[in-house]
Order: sequence, then C-alpha cells, then structure tokens
Amino acid sequence: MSAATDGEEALQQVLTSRPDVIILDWLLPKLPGVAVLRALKADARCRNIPVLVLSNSTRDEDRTVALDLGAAGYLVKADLRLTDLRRRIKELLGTC
Amino acid sequence: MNSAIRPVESDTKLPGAGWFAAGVETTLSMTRRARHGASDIRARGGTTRTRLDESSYAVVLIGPDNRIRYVSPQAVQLTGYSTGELVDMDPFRLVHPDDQDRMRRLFAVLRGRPGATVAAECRALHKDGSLWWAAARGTNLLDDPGVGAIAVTYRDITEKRESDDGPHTAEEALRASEERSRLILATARQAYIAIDSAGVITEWNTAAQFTFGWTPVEAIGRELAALVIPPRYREAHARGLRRFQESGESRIIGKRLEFPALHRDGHEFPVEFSISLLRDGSRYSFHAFVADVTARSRLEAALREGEALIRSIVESTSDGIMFVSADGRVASVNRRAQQMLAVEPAAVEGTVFAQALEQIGFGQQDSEALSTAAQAVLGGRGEDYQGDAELRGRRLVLHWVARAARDNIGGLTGLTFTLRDVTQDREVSRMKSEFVSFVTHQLRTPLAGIKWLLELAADATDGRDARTYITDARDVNERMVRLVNDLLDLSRLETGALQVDIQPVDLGALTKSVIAEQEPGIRQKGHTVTVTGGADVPPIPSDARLLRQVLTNLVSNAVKYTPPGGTIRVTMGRDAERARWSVEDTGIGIPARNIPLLFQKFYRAENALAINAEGTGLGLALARLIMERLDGDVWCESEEGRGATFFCALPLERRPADQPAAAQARPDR
Repeated sequence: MSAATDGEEALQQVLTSRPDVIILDWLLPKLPGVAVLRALKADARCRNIPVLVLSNSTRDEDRTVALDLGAAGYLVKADLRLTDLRRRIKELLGTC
Repeated sequence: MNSAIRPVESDTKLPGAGWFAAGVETTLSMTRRARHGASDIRARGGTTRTRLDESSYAVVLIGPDNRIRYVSPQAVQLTGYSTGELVDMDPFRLVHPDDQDRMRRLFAVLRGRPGATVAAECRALHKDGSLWWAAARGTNLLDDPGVGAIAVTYRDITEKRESDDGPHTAEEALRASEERSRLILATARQAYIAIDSAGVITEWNTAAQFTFGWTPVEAIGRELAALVIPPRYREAHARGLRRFQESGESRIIGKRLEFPALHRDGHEFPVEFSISLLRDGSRYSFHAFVADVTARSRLEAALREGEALIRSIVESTSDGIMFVSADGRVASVNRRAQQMLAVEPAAVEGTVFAQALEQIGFGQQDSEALSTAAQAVLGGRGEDYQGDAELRGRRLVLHWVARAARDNIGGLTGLTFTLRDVTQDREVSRMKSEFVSFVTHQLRTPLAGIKWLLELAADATDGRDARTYITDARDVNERMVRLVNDLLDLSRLETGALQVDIQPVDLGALTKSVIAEQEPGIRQKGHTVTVTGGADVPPIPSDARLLRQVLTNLVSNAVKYTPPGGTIRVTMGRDAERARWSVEDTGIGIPARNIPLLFQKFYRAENALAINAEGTGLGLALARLIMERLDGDVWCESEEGRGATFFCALPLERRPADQPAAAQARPDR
C-alpha cells in the first residue's frame, strides 16, 4: 500500500507501484481528482485498475462525472463508514 | 328681409275688396281714356324715383296673353317707364329677378281662379335699375265680360320697410353698427375694458364685473390703475402711459401679456390680455379683452410641479434609468445611471443606442444582448427583457431591465432601461457558494477523518495502535476547534461584537514569539527568516491577542506559499503617527487580478488553490477585520511568481473617541 499527497504524485506512484486498487480523493492539490481519473483511464497501462473516488461533494454532477470517466464507485466521506470502505475494497480486489 | 313677403290667402272677401272694386271702377274708365290717346300722361324719366304717398295706388291690367294692357299714371311714375313702353310689356320685367319666380307662381295660381284675389309684397325694379318695395294685390277679372283682364294694384312701401327693417342712411347705419358692437361687447363672455389716454376707464362690460368684482357703474370713470393694477405695478403703468403720451411709443401694445391683477376683494390673480390702440383724430384710447387665467396658471403650475416631482424621483432613485426614444437614440440618462456608467449626459444623449453602448464600455456579448433587447422592444416584438452586463475595468455588474414605454393610449414612445448595481449581490452569491464549498471541505473532511480514526481505534486489537488513532483524532479535532474559533471571531468582527483589550504591546517581542511558534514549519521547509527594526517601535496601545492572530496568519501564509529554501523578511518601523511592519516572502506571489479580493473571507487566490488544497480562506479576512477594528490597515503588494509583501500599520496612539467603538456598525465591504 502506498499514499500520495497530491494529484501529480499519485499518477507517478500508480505507474511505479501498479496497485490493485486506487482510492482517489476528489479535491487534491496540484492536479484535481477528476484530472487524475481522466489520466488514469487514458493510459493503457493503468486503465484497468479499479478506482474508488472519495469525495466531500454530494453534488450529482461530481458523482456523474466520476462514474462516466470510469470510476468503480463514488463515496461521500461524511456518509462513509470504514467498514463499508473495507467491504468495497475487498469486493474490488475479489474481481481482479 | 325676403321673409317679409307673404302672400295673402286668396279670398275674395278680403278687407281690401271694397277699395279695390272702387279702384277698378276708375281703372275701367281710365282704360277707355288710355285707349283713346292718353299719351298726354307723361312718364317721369330720369334716375330719381318719385315716391307717391301711401294712398296712391298704381293700377295695371294684364290681359289673357299675360301682357300689360293698361297702366295708370301712378304706375308710370313708379316704374319709370312710359305708357308706350309699358303697354304690351311682360309685367314680370317690373319685378326684381330674385322675386320673379315667386311672383310668377302666385300669378299662375291667380289665373287659375277666376274672381280670386292674391296679395303679396315684392321687390320691384325701376327703369333706372333702382330697387323699391311694392305691395301688390291682384284680382282675376278675366271672366268679367267688362274687364277680361287681371287687375293689379300696387303701391310703394319702400320707406315703411326700411324704417322697419334697417337703417335709412349711412349715419343711421353707423349708429346701428356701433350699437350692435356695444351690445356684443357688453354681453361678451370675456371681460372688455377700455381706457382713455389719461388712464380713465371708459368701457367696462358685465364680464369685467365678474372678473374684477366692480360693476360697470362703479368702474367707468375711475382710474384703471387704482382699480385693477396691484400697487407694485402702478408706477410702471403710469410710466408707460406717460411715455406713450410724450413719444407715442409703447412697449406693450399688440403683445400678448400676462400680469397679476387686483380683484375688488383684494386678492391677486393672473390675467392675460392684449391691448389695442384706437385713434380718433388726436384722441386715442386703449382697448383690451382680459382673460382670467387663474385656472390655466394653476394647471400650468400643477404641470410644472408634476414634472419637477417626476424629475426629482427619476434623479434621486437608486436605480440608473436610461430612456431610449422610439427612433433608437438615447434621450436621457438620470444621475444614477451617469454615475454607474461613468458617462456625461452630453456624450450619449442623442446618440444611437448601439454607439452609446460602445462608448460606455460594455463587453461585446453584453452590448449585443442590450442591443437585441432594444431592437425587439422598439420593433414591437417584446415588452420586457432583462439580463446582466459587466462593465469591464470597473468590476461593476449591472442588472438591466428593458421595458417598452407607452403613452396613455398605448403608443410606443420608446424604451426604458433600468440599471441596478448588482455587483454586491453577485459577490454575495459567490460568497455563499464559497461558504458551501468551505463547509463541505473544511468541516466535513476532518469530521470524516475523526470518525474513521475513532472507528479504527474501536476496532484495534493493539492498545498502542488504538492510542495513536485517538491522538490523531484529537489533533484533527483541535484543528477544527481553531477553525470554528476563527469563524466565530470573523463573525464577531463583522458584526462589531468583538471586545478588544487594549494594552501596551511590544511589537518586536510579539513578532519573535510568533516566529518561534512557527519554527517547526519553517525548519521543515528550510526557509530563512530575518526580523529587523523591532527596537525602533515603541510599545503601542493595542490588543496583543488579536495582533498575534494577524501576525501568525501572515507568517504562516509566507511559510506555506513559499517553496522550500525561501526567504521570509519581517521588517518593523514607524513614521510620525503609525507603527508599520511588513512580512515579505519569496513565494508564488498573487495574480494581480486576485489582489482586490484577497482580504474577503473564503477567497483564495487561484494559484494557491492549484498548489495546495489546505487553507480556509479565513486568515487574511480575519487580518483585515482585526486591523480595521484596531484602527489600522493591512494591504498587499505582489507580483505572481515573485513573492508577496503584506504591510500592516497601526496608530502609535489611540484616540479617546475610539474607546467605546465596540459595537459600532460598519458599512458592508
């Protein structure tokens, strides 16, 4: 497991460490989550890694954009319990 | 007076029958005489017609062939023709053309009724062409074997008719005309006044009595000035009269004038009149019809007042109003609109709307929207349009409403543009949405974090892990507490509810302590920090806690927005009245267009958002509010990419009046 603190760093780490699943914050320094997601899905090397988007935004627009770009899920932080997050990660790992 | 000619009913028993029968008797004897050479009866020629006295009747006999058979001497005298000329003449040649038709009709009636008599008055023609009035009476004696003719007797009634109906002489005619004029003037509905050359009233009609209150009997013979001219004008009136008497010059004759006049009851009222001059040899008089124009004056005054009222409303309203006339030109711009649009009325009034827009400096899109609305309304394709338009360079957002202006019968007179400055409204809504995103991000994120850390702690099997989670949750919580405190301070400062605690503050010491507090962050990023001038500033009366907050925010911003290895310089100093300090960094700087908004709450510069999502947008807003509360200033100079310098200034002494300013309301920024 590895962590990145901004969008640019995240993209680099994905390419070097090839994670099984990516948990992506929507509001990130340097490169926003939406740009990271678009870059991930545009690159054949990481297009198939499932991405779970974590966001504070409850706006439908954000959810729609994220899912349209190919996110495996869109979770709102305030509503989320860690056990649910854990369950979603397990599901995604199981499908790999 | 043609109507005076009236046929007498055909009736043989008319009162005139007696004299007529007698007349016919004589006529008949005369007829014989005429037949036997009555040529000695000389007709009177010439142009003057001799009037016979009323009892003199002329007799004419008209035969079945409608020709004159016989004329009496009186007939010869009345007509001016000789007997020879008259005999065999068409009798209607003696009748005035205007009356011929009527007389022929009457004659035809008479012919169809043997024994009947018809009487009529008509105009007759003398041989010399002059006209006279005849009263004629005809009797149908065609069946009478002794006569075999229609006998007509007539007499001259010219004098009688004229004395009844009209003037006899030019002098009489003039007198009558004067009398008529006098009657017309006397009964005219408008006041009529005449004065002689000395200013004495000679004419004063009934209407003048209604207008001025004086009866004709009271007024005529009095001086006009004393009666109707208000005292303050009497001198001018006398001067005018004198000037006219001396030089014949007048400044007022023939002109339409309006002056105050005096009523009998003492009140003044406006009258309108024009004076005409009448000369009669060396004598002259002045005449005038005078109209009381009180009602009109009141109406005019009311109109003027109404207009002034509308103008003052239009001019004092807080909305800008621009009126575009039906021909598409700017007709007027009220004061507020002049301010908003920064235009002089002379520069735009009269110009075509689209050109005016260009001159005002709206963006192209906004100009097009405004033009389209104007064209639609003036073209009758719509009544009401609205939108927002931005004035470039003045950061002003105007909400405009274009509405058709119509007169009271619905005709399009133009278009009214109402302009409202919505810069603040738009700013408020922007801030609202910023607040929503602030709350979303700044409060929900740490709350979610705390929740997750506590979940982890609860699930942890290892006691040390659990403690770490709880410690982390406490740190996040502390950050939130600081955040909420900042928000509360902000709110108190904005409403003026924050109490200040004024004590002498050593700015140098305060700065050192703030930097010491920030030491971990400074060391982590490898910044160099210098502090100079602390000793030059004397202790200032201020609130140390609030000042520390300002300094902390400025220094932590410098640390945060300066890439590692930067330099931060804190410089202190003073001038005659104020202590000043500045915090200068070598960081990313602030885009020039963001600087004006920098001190507004929740606002974050564009480049700050790009490099670092952390930050509340509260620090500089707090700094501004605190400095204002402490009677100081805070401002910023920066160039993007080249660092930023924040300046603060505080008075060295507090004015006594500032002390109780705690709850003072401040105008919105």
